[in-house]
Amino acid sequence: MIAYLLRRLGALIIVLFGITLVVFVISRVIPTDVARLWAGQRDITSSERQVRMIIEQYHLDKPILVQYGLYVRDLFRGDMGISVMSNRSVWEEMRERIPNTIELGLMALLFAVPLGIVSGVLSATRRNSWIDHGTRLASLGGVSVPVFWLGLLFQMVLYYQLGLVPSPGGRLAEVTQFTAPVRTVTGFLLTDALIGGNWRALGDAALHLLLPGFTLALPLIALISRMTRSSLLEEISKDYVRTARAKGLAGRTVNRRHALRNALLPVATIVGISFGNVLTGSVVTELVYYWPGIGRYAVQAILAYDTPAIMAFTVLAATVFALANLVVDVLYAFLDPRIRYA
Amino acid sequence: MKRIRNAVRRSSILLFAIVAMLASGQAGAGPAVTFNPQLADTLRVAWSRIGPTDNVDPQTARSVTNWRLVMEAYETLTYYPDPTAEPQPFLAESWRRLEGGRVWEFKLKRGIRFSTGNEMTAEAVKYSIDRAMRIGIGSIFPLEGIYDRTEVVDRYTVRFHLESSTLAWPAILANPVILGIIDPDYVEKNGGIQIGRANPVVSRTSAGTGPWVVEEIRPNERIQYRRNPNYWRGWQAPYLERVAIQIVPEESTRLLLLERGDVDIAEVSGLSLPELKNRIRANSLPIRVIENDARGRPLPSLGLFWVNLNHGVLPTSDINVRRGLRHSFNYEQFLSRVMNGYGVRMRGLVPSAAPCADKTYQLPQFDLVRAKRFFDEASPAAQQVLRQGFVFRFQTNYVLQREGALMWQADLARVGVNVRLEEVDASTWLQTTRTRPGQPLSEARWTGSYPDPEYFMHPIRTGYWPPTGFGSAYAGGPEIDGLIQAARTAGTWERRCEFYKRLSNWLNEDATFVEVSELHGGIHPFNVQANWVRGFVHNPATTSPSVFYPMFKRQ
Repeated sequence: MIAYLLRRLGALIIVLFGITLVVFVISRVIPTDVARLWAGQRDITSSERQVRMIIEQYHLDKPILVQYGLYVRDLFRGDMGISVMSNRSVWEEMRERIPNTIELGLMALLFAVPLGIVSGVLSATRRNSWIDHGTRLASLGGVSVPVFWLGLLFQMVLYYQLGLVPSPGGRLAEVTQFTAPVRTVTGFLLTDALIGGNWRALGDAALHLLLPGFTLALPLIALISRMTRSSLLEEISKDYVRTARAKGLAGRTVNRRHALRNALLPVATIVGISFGNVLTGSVVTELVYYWPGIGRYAVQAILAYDTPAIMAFTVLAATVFALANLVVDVLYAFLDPRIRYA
Repeated sequence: MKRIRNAVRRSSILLFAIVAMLASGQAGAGPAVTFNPQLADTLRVAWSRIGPTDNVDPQTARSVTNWRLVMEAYETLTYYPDPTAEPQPFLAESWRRLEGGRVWEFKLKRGIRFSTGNEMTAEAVKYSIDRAMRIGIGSIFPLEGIYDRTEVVDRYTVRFHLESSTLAWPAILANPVILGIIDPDYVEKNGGIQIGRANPVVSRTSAGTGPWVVEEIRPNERIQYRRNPNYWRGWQAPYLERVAIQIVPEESTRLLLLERGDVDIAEVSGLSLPELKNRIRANSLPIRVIENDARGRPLPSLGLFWVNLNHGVLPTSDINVRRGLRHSFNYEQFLSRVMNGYGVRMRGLVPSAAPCADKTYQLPQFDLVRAKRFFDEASPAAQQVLRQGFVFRFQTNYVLQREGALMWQADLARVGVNVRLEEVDASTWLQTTRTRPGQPLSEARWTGSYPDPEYFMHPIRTGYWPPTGFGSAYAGGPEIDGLIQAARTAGTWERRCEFYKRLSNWLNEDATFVEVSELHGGIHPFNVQANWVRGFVHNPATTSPSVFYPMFKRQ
């Protein structure tokens, strides 16, 4: 197992090299003067001296492979470069946002996994009932209705009309920020509030997470639900289930103890990959809810042609996806004793 | 089958209920907006995002939004109480012009302290301007070709030596991103001067003499100020304790926040204002749109919208094509239908609120017959391009908007000119307009930080042609540069204004731009306020003093 893990981690490094090389080269071969474009991004009134400083700062006067080499060297030192837009360290900017995205992603999974599995199980065990049809309709809606539209609809109804959820934007209400400020320890707001025993901020932060988390979770709920249903139906029709029933075991017990356990194996894959997805693919949700995470940061970077920030996001996304896949594969071995990695 | 029918019936009822609820929300009374007494001393503002909001260091901040943030914490030697007036002493007590305007001596007010507790002295003034020049990434372009050095005469006297006589020097110094005075001690203790980059501490905190101290910055998301209790101009109750500014790019979200009472001030574009005013009336919302001054006159601005006509590429290199284009734009329709009345005709490069604005500027009129005549008089090469067609890359929500671009395209088609529209993002637009030889047509907008006429002349200076500058009409030449220089060094305002009038005449003759609009009335970042917000004073200049200082909330 350890050899397998090391092999996969080695492959991950090669994948990351490949990705960084491709993105780096694409960013440098566009038919424009990158230095002047960046100078213009900072301010349209940039002077020639400022353009020269950018060329020097980003080594733009050197051959592209040398530039890439310098980039990789810095990357190994933990330096992801300086943001073109803000002039600040990209890593510093990402570090401030990553906890927000992780908390949003975890909240989405907290909704998606139980709701998806329960609705999938109900749908499979009550096949062709109104529950099954309703779940299918909802799943279809969950995957086909655009997240931005759902987000705006939820804001319109639940925030604007009914006032059931807090305002979009930010992690805490203004009143909480002033009356119960959270001392930063880990950067994760919920954790920090918990560590500080700041229950008011904890509750407020959790409330702020609800709607964006649920919106992000909706397509996942649909996916997990459909996967659970089809997988469970497949298991239910297998001989061992029939045998268990023939032995006199209650249908519910057979489904729960035998069929569901096996049916959840492919669901684990979906959940694992979804974890990668929610961390890097929450862009639209973050934009609609004005959530201070890395998804929004990536969009801002792309619009501003902020190559160091785009590169950093790409490296992070690739790493998260590769690691999520690796974790799923390892998890497989634990869930299914028949699987062995050489 | 029956079960399916039931399920479908239930779903339909649910869907109908949701639609009905939404419809009632659109047309009905809407939510109750109430004053929150817990936040009585906190002003909550929602701004759009027209540039990065991540840096309050006066010597490295770029973008208009950052400038607005800087002016709350940092102050300047001079300020503009009103854009039509002369600059007044602020941190300076007085100044005098020496050597015909090549040297300026400023006496500082005594006893003014930074928010750090240190005293503001002549050394701090010299340190601030030297720091801006050394770092080199701030908004120092108005100093280039003007500024030479600073001399500390004594603890409270400073002398600026310029490369040439500059009557506008006190005006230039009103801009906090040119010379916002920072505490040198604070900078040196927090990383010092870092050439070519923003100091991560200084860009996220503040050490100025202003009424507000930066408490927190989350880049492009939120900035929070707290009151500087030792502010030198003092505080007279009622006043605010905190100001929290959220950057909310989505206009619909800003409106939701405002109408639910979760922000006190929201920046709303001219496109949404008429509908908002209807909702305010229909639902009796405690919200008001600030578009007139106390005497009921529309608020002035220093914002200009125009389209550059590139002198270096066909077809706009032909003066008859440029003249034809100026007569083919339906200005009045654009102002009423696209700008919703929040614009007036632009009269040359100096906005009407600034000194030396040319009230007699000959406005080109929308006249397609005349436009066609000009196009017919163009060179054969230009006419061929007009017939074949050329591309107009316009930026999303920038100057003409999609509606304005379509309107112009349709009018041009009526006189046989084929323009293909391409709507592009800011990056692509920047890339195409800043790469020589550029595009025949390129949109431009300029909001002056301070109302000195020279600040608006850069688009026609050869030194500001792309890729360095933003003069993507490639208009002007040594003669125009000479006129601008002469206007700068003219000894009196009357003489200066004469030069700017000559420049205006030249612009008109040359058909340099399609002068689209000057912003007017309700288009400013504080334009929609809850009724409990008081003390707002409109100043179109993004210079000192603080806008939030006189403001307070009262139910």
